[in-house]
Amino acid sequence: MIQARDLSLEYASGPDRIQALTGIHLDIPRGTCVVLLGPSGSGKTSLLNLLGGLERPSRGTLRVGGLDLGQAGDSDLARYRNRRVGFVFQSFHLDGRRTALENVLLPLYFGEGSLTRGRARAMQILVRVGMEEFRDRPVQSLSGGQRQRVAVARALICEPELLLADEPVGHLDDRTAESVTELLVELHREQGLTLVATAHDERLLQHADRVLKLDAGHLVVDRNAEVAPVHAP
Amino acid sequence: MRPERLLRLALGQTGSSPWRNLNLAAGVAISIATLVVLFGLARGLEGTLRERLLGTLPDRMRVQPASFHVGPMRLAESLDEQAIARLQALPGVRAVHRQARLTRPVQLRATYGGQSFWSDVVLEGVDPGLVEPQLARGHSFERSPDGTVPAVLPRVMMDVLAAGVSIHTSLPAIAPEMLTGRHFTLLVGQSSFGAEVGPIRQQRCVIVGISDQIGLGGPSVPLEFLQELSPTPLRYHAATLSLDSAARAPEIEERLRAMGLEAPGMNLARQIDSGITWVRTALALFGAALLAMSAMSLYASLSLQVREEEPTLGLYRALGASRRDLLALYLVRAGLLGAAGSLVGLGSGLLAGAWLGRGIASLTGGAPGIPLALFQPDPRACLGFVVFGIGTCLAAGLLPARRAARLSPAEVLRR
Repeated sequence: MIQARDLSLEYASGPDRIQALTGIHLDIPRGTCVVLLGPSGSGKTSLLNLLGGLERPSRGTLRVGGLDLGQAGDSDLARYRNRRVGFVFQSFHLDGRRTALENVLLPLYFGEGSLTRGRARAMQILVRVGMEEFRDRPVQSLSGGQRQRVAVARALICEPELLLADEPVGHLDDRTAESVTELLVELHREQGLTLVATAHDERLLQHADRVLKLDAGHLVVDRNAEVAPVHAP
Repeated sequence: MRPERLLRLALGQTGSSPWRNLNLAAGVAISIATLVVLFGLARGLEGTLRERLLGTLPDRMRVQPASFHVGPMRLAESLDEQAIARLQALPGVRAVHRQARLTRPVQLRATYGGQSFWSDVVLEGVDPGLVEPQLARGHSFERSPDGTVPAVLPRVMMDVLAAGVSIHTSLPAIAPEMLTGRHFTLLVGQSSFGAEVGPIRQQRCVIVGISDQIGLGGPSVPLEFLQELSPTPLRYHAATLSLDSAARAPEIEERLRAMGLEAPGMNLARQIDSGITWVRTALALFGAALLAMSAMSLYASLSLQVREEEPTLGLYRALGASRRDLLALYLVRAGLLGAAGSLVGLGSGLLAGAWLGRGIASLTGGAPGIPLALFQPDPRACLGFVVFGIGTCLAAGLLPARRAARLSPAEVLRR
């Protein structure tokens, strides 16, 4: 499903040019749970951004489900992000003024699907992530774990085939992190999603089908976790 | 992105900073209201000037012999029957209405509200066709069997009387319908200055209408009656042409000039046009400057909002918004502010203009019964102001919208 060839990314950060990724070769079959490891600045988030169509490769090709993300137009990429990808961020990125339900519904505004049907689905997902009783509460009033559950529900509203999670439990306490990790893994299994997540701890790693380790923008380890488990740094 | 979803999202975002956006919309509203009020008053002023100076019948053209001035004196020939016949023969002229003044002194005596009133007047005789469109309903411009002569009062005299009565007495203000059917007496040959010439003749008259087509110095009576009073054959100081169409006036004016005649109304109309054009230009520049200031505020505020909302914009992009969606989102927000401000400005401008117009009219002697429509908003101009207001806001929102559309979502989310 995901195919990267000689994938590189360079971007500007103020006056500097950052070489975030260099020469990545990768094939990830559909339905795989992939965990990205690596120290800060190793290129994990950059790889997620490329996979999510938020950035274009500086060199090489990246295909997801037949769509060349380097060549696709802005509208095609927007449609790709809306329909085929779900994002879960470390800092949730929820709209604090909106309720949980409104946050979950937000991606539907950018799509073509029915809002009425989307609302029914949002209610189902909120039940699934255990947030049904908080649906009408502004997310500002929710705890970190609850917010991340809302963010997961939002990522699933358009029934994506690829779920990208960037340090999804990085800002949560141990108990909450455990439950959110379990939720992600369960959803991955229930819905046959391809899950690509970055992680600094071992919780998600235990459930990974495959582990990729990046260092200074290079893919240094690419292992099937069942064959050769790789421990988080 | 579907338009209704775009609108809901834009409304939601606009509502998230209510006070800031209320201020922006208020700025636009003030600009539009100012334009509506000033242009409405200018149009009202133009209409009032035209009506007061040129009369209410646009297909009429007053003609007089070319004149020259010696100090304060205006010297002019008069029109004779031959000239009248030549005027009648002009293409586009439907009828010629003659006007002559009595050269003898005349005094008008009347009572009103139980008080006696007299005034020296200039008596004018006119062809019935000149005043017939303005006669009161049920009245004619013919002498009655008992010898009473019909008379029409000049509207200016009505205005002066009405203003004087309303300001200096507690009597009810004079309205045209209050005067119609009332009688007065003309003393022909008598003057307040003691210049009595020949025998004094008393003539009972009845007011049958108010007209803006006749001379300003006093009442007008049928021409044939004036001839009875005049010791010499009448000479016409002016004639008024009824035209097939007002559009033919410039062409006919050319012919008149060749005949040694002039149409003072046309010159006056040109002066009014020129003056009003200047006023309108100045008002348009003033309004545009006001609107430009509002647009700059809007630009600055939207730029700030784009900066503040960068995380949200990055999120929207991650959730499937295209560059075009974000561009449209900010343009719709600017357009909503412009539309709200323009419509509120239009409404408040219409209300304020009507109130101001009434206030100014009452201050300038517009006595009750003689309404001066000083505020006359032009519907097309009002629509233009609203479109202009929205357009200006859209233009002001374009740069911030483009900046929002160009944001790199990855870069924003990375921060």
